[in-house]
Amino acid sequence: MSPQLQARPAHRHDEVDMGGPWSILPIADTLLERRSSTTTRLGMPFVVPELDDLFAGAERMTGAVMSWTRQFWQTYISSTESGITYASTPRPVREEVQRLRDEIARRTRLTREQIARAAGVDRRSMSAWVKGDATPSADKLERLQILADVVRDIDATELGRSTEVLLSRSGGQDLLDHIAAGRLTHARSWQSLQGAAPSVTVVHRRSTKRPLHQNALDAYLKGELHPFGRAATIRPESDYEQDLSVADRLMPDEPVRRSRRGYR
Amino acid sequence: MMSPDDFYEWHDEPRQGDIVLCGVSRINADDRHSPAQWESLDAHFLQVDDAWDAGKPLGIAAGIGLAMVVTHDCQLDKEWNQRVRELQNGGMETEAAEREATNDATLDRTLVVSPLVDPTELRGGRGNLLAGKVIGYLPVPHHPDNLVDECVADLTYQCTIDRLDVVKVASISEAARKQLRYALIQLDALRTADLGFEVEAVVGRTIQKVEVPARDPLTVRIQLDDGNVIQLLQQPGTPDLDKGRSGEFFSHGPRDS
Repeated sequence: MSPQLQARPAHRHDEVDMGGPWSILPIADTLLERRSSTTTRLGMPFVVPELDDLFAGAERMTGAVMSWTRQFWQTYISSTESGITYASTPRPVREEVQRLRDEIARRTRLTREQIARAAGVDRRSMSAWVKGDATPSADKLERLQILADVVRDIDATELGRSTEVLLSRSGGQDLLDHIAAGRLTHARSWQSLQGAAPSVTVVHRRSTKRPLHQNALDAYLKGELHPFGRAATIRPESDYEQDLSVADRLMPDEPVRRSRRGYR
Repeated sequence: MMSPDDFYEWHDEPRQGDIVLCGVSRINADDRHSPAQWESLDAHFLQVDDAWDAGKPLGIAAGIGLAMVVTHDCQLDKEWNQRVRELQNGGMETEAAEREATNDATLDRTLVVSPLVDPTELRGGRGNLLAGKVIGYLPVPHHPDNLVDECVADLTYQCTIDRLDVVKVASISEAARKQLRYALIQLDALRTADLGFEVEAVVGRTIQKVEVPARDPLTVRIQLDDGNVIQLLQQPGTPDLDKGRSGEFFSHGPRDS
């Protein structure tokens, strides 16, 4: 192993010790790919079956995908006075997917179906990734990461508008479609896509009458009313089934009325 | 119109007939015409300039208002039930499955509501509207806490909204819900929806289920809410008197005996 390389004990991503030798990062900075205005990452996450392979990969500093298993290695590169230090933290792919999905859901109002759409899969597939029943391919995981990047980016510049921006369509497609189709550069330049959004004119009209809902609105603003909530009653599956073939037998005929002359 | 005491009845869970405060919207034409009864609901007009490829704009009128949930109870938790079953089939305990489905905010997001409108703005005549005589409208009495004025639910305006942007104001009794369902049937599906309701009126119970057994299609089994079952036997056609037995045979037996 190169004397300049050393493995650091595993830490959680957000607990990386940036003190001591880790505070000197000029070399590492040049190796990092700047993906967006708010996030920085070293290329693609990569996976190695053995720790020795990890160091071999680190020596080359390519960060290339070497193999794809259920283990996801979060990589960090830093530098010391004597050279580059490499550290890695194993994170199961399922945890990474869950972390990204939850972060996107927290920052936006996207449904899980919509998040999965950006990754190019359906909700069940993503659910299987989170449960560990299936493993996403590298490109699908990258799409999820790009979506998270874009969401953070939008949040940083236009707080609270992320869902609106992500779902606004240009050329019949929204940002989720662009990410799902692998047009990642397109997705990162979401601000230019915004410029192409259709123009909307809003006209407000003030009612001359006291609106019917005024008392309820006043009560709501005083905090006296509560959200609608959700219904949760267990029902048999048959409640949701229908048999249209019986309609002809069970439904009465509509009464036939003679039309007035000239009226059709 | 029903009295407020008979009409209103609080229920915590979301149900068909709930009165909510929410946003409503509808598509409108370029001239932004609003019928008088919807003027207070059409508080904002949005025009999306290139929504149609041919350069034609899309107009949307939207606003905040009181509305009545017209979606049936079963539909309000349809996806929740599907998810619970899916998790149970995957081996999860019922309680855990219900908890997980309940925590999933993506399920059952949408519901259909009809706004409440001032009957004086409608052409049907205030008296007739509040008496429930005009198809398409359900009279709503004054709320005991002044949250709702005397008005009608305008079932001709139905709008799909997101459950997460809804505030519950009041809920209604079973008797009022029956009136709502009857009004919905009459407006949307069946102007002669009398038979089932007449049977209910005669027996004094609500029909829970109606079955026509495959083995005996002349029989109709009506299951009531108290568990009793009424079995109706369809009258057979009267056969030729010379060759067969008359209808009286079944009620009185053979004449000669």
